[in-house]
Amino acid sequence: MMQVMLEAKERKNPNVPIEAEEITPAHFIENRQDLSVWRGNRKVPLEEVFEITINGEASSAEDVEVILTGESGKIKRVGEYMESGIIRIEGDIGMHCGNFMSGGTIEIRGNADAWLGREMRGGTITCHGNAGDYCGSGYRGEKRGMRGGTIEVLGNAGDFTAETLSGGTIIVHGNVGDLSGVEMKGGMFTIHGNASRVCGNMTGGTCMVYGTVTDMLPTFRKVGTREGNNGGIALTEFTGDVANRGKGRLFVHSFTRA
Amino acid sequence: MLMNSGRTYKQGEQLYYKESPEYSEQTSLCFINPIDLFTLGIEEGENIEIKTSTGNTVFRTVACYDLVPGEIFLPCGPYANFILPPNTHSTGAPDFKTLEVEVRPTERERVSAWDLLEYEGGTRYDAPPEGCPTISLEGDKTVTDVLCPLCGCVCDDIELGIRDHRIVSCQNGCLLCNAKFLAKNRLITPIKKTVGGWEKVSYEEAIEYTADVLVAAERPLLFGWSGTHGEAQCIGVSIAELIGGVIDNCSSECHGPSIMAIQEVGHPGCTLGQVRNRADVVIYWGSNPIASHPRHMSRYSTYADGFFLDNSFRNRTVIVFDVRKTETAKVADEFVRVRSGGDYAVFSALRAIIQGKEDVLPKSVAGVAKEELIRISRIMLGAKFGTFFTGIGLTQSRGKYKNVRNAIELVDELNRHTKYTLTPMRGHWNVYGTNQTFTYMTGYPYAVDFSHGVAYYNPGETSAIDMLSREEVDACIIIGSDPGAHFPRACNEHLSRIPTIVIDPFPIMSTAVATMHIPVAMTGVDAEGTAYRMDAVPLWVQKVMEPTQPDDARLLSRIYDAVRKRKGMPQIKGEDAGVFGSPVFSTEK
Repeated sequence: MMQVMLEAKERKNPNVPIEAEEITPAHFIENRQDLSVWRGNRKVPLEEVFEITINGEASSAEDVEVILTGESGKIKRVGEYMESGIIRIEGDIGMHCGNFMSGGTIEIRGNADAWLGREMRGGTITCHGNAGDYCGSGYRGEKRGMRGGTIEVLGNAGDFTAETLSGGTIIVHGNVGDLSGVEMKGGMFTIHGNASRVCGNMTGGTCMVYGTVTDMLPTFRKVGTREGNNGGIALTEFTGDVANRGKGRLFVHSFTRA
Repeated sequence: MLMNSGRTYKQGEQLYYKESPEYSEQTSLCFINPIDLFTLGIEEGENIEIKTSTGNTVFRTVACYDLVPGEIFLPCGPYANFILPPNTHSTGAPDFKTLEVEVRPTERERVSAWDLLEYEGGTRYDAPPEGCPTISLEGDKTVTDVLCPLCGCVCDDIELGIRDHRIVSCQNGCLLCNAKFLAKNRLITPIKKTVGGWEKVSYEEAIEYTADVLVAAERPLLFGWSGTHGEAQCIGVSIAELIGGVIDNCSSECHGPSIMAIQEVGHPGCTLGQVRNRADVVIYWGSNPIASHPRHMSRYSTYADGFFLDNSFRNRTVIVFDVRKTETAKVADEFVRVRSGGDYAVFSALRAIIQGKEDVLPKSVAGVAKEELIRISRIMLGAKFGTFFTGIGLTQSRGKYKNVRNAIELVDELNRHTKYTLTPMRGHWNVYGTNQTFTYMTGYPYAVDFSHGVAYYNPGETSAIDMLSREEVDACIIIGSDPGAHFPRACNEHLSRIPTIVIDPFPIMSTAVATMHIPVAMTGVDAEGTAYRMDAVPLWVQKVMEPTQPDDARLLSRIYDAVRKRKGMPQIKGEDAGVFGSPVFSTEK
């Protein structure tokens, strides 16, 4: 088991974003000395931004645990393309954490900025705080977003959460922002709190809202009522988005119309 | 109450006179329904204070029956933006529309626009106007068929009268066109901010300063570009690549969301000539061309003669969808009032109706009765050639680009039955040009980040308002745009803390938050170059007089050379000179 401790050093201008796509468990197993990050438009060695401590050894990335501490809210792209192993973030994390990841685990103790788990293929992300906009979404102009794996957000998530979701599972324990689940094509999206204008233009997949949907879109056809598997909360089942000839399933506890 | 901000023609008329009290007057108005005035217990003309999570400021009330009670309308400008939160929902465009605000009567007086910029950390530039630096080599003359560099229509029939090296008359143009061509309070020499004031500096010093700032920056931003010509934009992209900067243009806060929608579902577009000659149903959605594009209706739609239409004015049906009964709505055949922020639902409903699935809809959608929607959809389907003109009412209200996406998908649905197209009502005369030049040089239309040496695009992350409000920018060039007047307060506060260089022919609101303002020749008057009209037709904008100042392209190529020199790269000086350079400009001035 190898443990890599990365403590973010104090930076002269803490607002300039750091792009750290090289922070994945696999990169530390290779014992590479040339790992670097981008600070704005400057490419700098990893040790200029982080205090690095490595304990133990490992033969595969699965046995590597990367622990990120310090001021990490502006550090972007941590765990991008990650395939295995564990990344633990003690504080907040910047945008694009876990982009394209296909395996392993990312655990965030604080809040995550926008595009958490964008176009994710597999693995697990757990965010104990709030997630920003576009959690588990796709990229601009892309037809499909997240395709597999699990994202669990214990707090709230922002606007456009699960946009173009086409596989995998997203669970938000708090509320989600406007137009969440928009363009959904597949997968499972569960919201324990409230939402607004959820699942516009959806063509497939399943979305459950255990709270209230405000400004519920007019183009969902009511199918029936049933009890959810979340302590027996009554849910109304809809299918849609009719405007898009969609066959998605939307379950809503209560709603108000636009 | 719910706030919407947007263009009024009086605000547009003052765009090149921002230092004047009239600009402050016209942008500090609050249009409000008389019922709300009654509820507040005040008379029209009395002041109110509008408060948001970001701040509060004072406006003068104007009674207006065009609005529904509970909604107010503010002209866009420094006042509306002083109270605007910078949150863009990671789309690049903040909530200029459908913003929740608190309104209460106040005894306080309004402040001036310069005062607001000083609250934001700027320093006013109120030196007396120095006049206009243009020279007419042919003496007094009349120039015909001039292109107007104001709005996206780029009208090409303007007639200018020139006396004593100045434009003294402007025929055929609209109010906004007249105001721009007749504006003479140009800045003559570069100015640099000192403690508590401004001092004049030479072009050399200004260029060297700019190059030093750009080379030292880790996260430089080059913003604006829609007020300059395509050739200058191309040099701007080259500078951005050279310094590893982010280059963004005004579309990120106006029609950028339209482009994001086009990237998702395509653009069913056509030229304005097609609309003029063929369209028998014209739909303006979230757009008020009488204020923003005053000649659009007479040149291309409502009042224009069409080659394939008999008696086009009588036989063309104009439909306006808006949240308030705008001047355009009053002259339209049909007006549909949508509840603020309800456009997405209305598009979805219309799509369902056209598919014959109206049974799924509730009795009303966003304040529009189902029967009304069915009736309107019949008019839409009855068209031989229909067209949508979508405005920033869609791109700046909640949902942003998803509203436009839904509009395009409605067009898609209509195209199964008849011919329909969609054209975004682009604001600035060359804002579409920025998207064209950026795309052919970088692959992306705006918000292009070169920090890794390759182009990366993600509005919401690499767009100007987001970067400024996250305070990550450490140097900024503003060219051909005025964020001082049109960006949320938080952005201007950050601009005032970092080295900011403004390149513009006129003193503007952004001058206040800048450390340096470099004046340039004005395209269409004493500089020339390519502009793209709102339907992406490229037009060559000619000059009508000779400059005594460098134009944007010439100045930027000097900055480009100065940056190359600092990076120890071989000089390519002279390559651009002669192409962009003007015969009269001399750096000794």
